[in-house]
Amino acid sequence: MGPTWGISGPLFLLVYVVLLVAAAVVGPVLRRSLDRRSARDHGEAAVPDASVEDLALLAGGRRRLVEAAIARLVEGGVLRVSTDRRLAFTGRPPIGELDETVVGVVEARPSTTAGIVARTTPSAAVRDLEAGAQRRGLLHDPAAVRRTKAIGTGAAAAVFVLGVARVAAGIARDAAVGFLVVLVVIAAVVAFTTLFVSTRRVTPRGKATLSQAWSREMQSRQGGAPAHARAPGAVLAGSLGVAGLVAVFGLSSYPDPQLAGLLAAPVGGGGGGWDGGGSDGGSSCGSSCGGGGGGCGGGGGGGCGG
Amino acid sequence: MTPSPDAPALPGGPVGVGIGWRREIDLTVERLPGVDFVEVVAEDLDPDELPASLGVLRERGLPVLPHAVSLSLGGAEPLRHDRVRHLAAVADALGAPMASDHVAFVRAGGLESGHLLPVPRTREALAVVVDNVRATQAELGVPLALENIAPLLAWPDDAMTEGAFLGELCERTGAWLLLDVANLHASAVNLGQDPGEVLDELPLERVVYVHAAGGVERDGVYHDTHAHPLTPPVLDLLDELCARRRPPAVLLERDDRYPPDDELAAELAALRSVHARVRA
Amino acid sequence: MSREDLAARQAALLAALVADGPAPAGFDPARLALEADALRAKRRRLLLRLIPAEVHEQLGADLVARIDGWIRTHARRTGTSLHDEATAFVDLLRAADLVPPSPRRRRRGRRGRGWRGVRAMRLSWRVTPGSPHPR
Repeated sequence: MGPTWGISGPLFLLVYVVLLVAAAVVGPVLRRSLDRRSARDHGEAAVPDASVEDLALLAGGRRRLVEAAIARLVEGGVLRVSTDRRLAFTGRPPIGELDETVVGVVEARPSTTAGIVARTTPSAAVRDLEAGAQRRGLLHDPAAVRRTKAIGTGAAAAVFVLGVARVAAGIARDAAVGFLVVLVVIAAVVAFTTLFVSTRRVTPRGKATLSQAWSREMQSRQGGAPAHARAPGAVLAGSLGVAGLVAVFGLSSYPDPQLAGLLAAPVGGGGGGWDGGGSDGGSSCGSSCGGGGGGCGGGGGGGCGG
Repeated sequence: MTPSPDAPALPGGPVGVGIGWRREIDLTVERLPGVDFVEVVAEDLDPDELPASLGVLRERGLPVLPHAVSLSLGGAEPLRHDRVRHLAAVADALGAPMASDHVAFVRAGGLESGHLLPVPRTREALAVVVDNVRATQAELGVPLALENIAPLLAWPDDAMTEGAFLGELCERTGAWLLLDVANLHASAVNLGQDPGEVLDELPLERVVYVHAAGGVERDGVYHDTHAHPLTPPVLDLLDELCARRRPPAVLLERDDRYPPDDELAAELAALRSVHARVRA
Repeated sequence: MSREDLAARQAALLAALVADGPAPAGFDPARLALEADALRAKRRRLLLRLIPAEVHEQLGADLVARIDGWIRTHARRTGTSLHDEATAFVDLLRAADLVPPSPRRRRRGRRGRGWRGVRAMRLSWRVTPGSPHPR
């Protein structure tokens, strides 16, 4: 009796490992090429006039965008938060489409940050701002990122199916399949994890823009006391302003610690100021904070600025 | 002689400027500058589970005064002792120096009005209110203050003025007065009552503190909404009261459409400026 | 006028204001109507606050009209809280298939408030002592 499918076990394992590695890297490689294309089209330099909305989208996606708007509205007295974490409209008119959308959500019924985020992120105002950031080369087209995901997942799934077939055939012939089973499991894990790659991906230009905002904020803080040490009410934070600070570092960096604690997700509720793992939330986590690597913040801990 | 505003008529009573604490603005109240005391709606509270925000205020030494709305002290039906006990329990839990409700009725014939309705100002009705107030005082454990309401209608057989009615009620029961200047204004606009005459007749030395609130006038009717800014006539009435005898304290009531913190702070400042003004 | 007489007169006034009772003699009819409007407006406002979010979303602007109709035909009886009323009203909407059933929240007056919050709301039959105001 010859080897299964006429291919020896060690040779198959070798080929399988090569296929598995290829499947694991195809997605990242394709996404890297998206980055290169974007750098060619839009450059790699920071945009000089990035808005708070841009920074929020770059640092934390739609959720952060809404959070930054909430911070701006609270600071401006348009919304107030009570100790049950609910935000309510004070009657002071908001300015701008995004802020009006947030107020529209709250006006009907006071709601927590999470509730507002959930009901505001599907709005036209959010979509328009996101589309604007894509047009200016700060974010990749999610459809393109989705294609790289599909290719990566498809490749890993194909490798997985091939492995399963070989294992089945091997078992039928009483051949040893132990090593292969391990590789098949790895293939399954690769296929599965690819599903969780975010389709919101920051371009090189976007990374540079965010990084610049981050380092400017750090420089401006060198002189004065850190924002967290300031007295409640003194909400002028560095160069970014309150909304910008929250855009870049999350709600847990709201300069008034008591308000930050009420606005940010409750401790134990998961990722604190961060989106948490997930589909369109964002995984530019590690690199987005300008090399500082602290962009994800701890759960409610204080983001990069802490 | 006008007593110093720092010497409350009621021992341990409020002094200065306060605001009604409500859940929706609990953090705002904690953080507003110039709040010397707060008032809570007793029916909103469970004495065994007081909101943490009230604990924060009490730790700062701020008096927290319970204010009831459902005793129906002006009602002819038997007094609801369960509601009196609830008010007593809330006052006790808050360590409050006093508690209050209105001279009004809110239930009759098995129905609830949901809002304060006026009592006929007759000697017979006065006797009923006196009985209710005495029974309440016997159970309450802290001094009771009584508040005038903002009426939209009057009984056809009113025989006494509001000042005389409230004055005699206080005299016969030893109750204190929680004088609402916005409600006084409502009586003036809606029933044509002269607020100056009411102030003349009221025992102003028994005023433990004053309520002020915003409202709107529409079609010649003043609505005491507690959802609008303070109006000049209400501040003028407070001024007139202070000119006669300065009450120890004044409290802003706001129950809906809460404005931004800075606007609430400005209203408190306006009350303080009238209340603290040095008068010849 | 004895305590009994006063009780009867107060009951007649209140019935005229909230339960379509005959207008008691001597009162200005315009003022009775004004007071009745004010009581209804306050009740509507408080009920709107207690009704769960999903009912607001389901009925939209129609909700106010339905509440008004309900208030006109259901005077609040002593012993029932506003929270009881809100529950009864929503149950009626559910029975009429105007709102999808929501067994989990059936006994909860306000989404997400939890039992403790509901208890506080139940105690709060008066949250705002005001009269109607535009929103």
